[in-house]
Amino acid sequence: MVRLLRVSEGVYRLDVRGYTCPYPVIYARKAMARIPVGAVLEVLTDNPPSCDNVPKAMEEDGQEVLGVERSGQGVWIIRVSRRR
Amino acid sequence: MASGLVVEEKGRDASARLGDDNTGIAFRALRSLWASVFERPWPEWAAGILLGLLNLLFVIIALKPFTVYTGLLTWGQSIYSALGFSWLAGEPKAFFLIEKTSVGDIGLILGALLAAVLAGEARVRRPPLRDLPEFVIGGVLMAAGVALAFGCNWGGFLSALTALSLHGAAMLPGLVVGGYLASRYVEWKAARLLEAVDLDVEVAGEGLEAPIYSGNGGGSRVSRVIQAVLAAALLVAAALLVYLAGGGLTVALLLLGVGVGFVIQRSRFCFATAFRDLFGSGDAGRAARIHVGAALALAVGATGVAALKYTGMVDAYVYVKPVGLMNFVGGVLFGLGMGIAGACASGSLWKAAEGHLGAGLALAASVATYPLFVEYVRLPLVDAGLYSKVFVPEVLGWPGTLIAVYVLAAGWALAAVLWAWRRGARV
Repeated sequence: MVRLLRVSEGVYRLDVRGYTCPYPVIYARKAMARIPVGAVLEVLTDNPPSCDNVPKAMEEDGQEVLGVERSGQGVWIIRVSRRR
Repeated sequence: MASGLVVEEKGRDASARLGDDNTGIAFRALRSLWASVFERPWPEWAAGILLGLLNLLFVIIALKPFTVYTGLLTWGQSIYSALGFSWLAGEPKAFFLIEKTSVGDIGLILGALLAAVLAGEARVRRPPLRDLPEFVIGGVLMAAGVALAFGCNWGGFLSALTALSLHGAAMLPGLVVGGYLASRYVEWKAARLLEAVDLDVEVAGEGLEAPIYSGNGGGSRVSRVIQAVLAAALLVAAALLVYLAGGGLTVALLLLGVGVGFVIQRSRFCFATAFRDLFGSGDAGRAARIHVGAALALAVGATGVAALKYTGMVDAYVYVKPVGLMNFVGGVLFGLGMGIAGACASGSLWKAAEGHLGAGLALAASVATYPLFVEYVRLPLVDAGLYSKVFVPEVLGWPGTLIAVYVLAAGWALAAVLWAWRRGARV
């Protein structure tokens, strides 16, 4: 089950490890709609193509991609700030 | 003199600095080269050209192009036979460390494992439990499709066209239809999931743990080196076993399989993505890039194979398989199956190698059912005379065949790119 957690004030984390394309993008878009404008969404994924297509989808939606960081072997964290 | 001394000192300082800079530049260049080859994803067009060349080498050594499912047939029949069920699924035509496709498949797995380990991408990935039936169904549909189409995305399509057999062209429209149906399924499932989940915000710390991640920037380099050494040791052991079973040429096939596995893991060259994500909400840009790469693989491979067959270095009828309406139907089933499983034939091998348990399950389902589909579906259809073989140069002549291959490759790549652009994707 995908979970969206508020880990601290203004920071939310979506764990989509185990999911492959296109589900991380779909869930990231859904999660973005659930957090307040100005908050940061951290997408935790172990699917390498998601490091490319999640930021691309977020940019297409007008959000600000703060970065993609390797976070352990085979795991990446994508940080996106909600702008709209 | 003093002035000269100063100049000399300056010169020495500058030279020392230059030396340091050179070392730094060299180190940075080496680091950048390492990252480009082993860590960053490879462009799909480059992967396509390399795959075309590897396929050509495979034809030269094995006298058949690179394919996948005959290897799975060998594995499945070997397992059935070992369990005493050869009466049900037939006997394998050769020992799995000798049979050419099986050896290529083993090489592909090892190459992908090595690539994933070097890139720091190897990791056991557990799919959600409720998705497990999808991998099984996807694997079974792929096996059924391969039985009807005389091959998978390689043997029924890319390598078929490379060998100038018409059955490859017959599968292509089926793959497009199957990819579209798979995208519809994915959209339907995603809509249902989102409706059910609704992603309520939960607060970490109130009986809930936030997902743990190391945040150490990529894990221990030492552990990556150890994993790489283990993967290389596995490769050497496999090469030794294959050599003892089949000799030097069989080892060459293993190494070509390693090359294919390495290239497709680094470029994430997956036909499931290519055909499914052209539609729906998938990444159409990436799908189009894979199509361009596959079209280049076809152009490169077919040019070489045409030369080999024209000059008689390879028998003209090598890998010319039957063609009929069933190839299209097989393409639809295979396209749907790989889209649901999220991995094509080669994709299930390299994704399983990098730790996707779901891809491994799809692979196991194909291994278990493909021998049965061959025995009870393909062979009766062939006996019923529903297929005939068409070697394209016999119909179009050699120049006409090459022109047709280039027109098909260019048209196919262009159509994928234009389609992706039309959907607003960046290619």
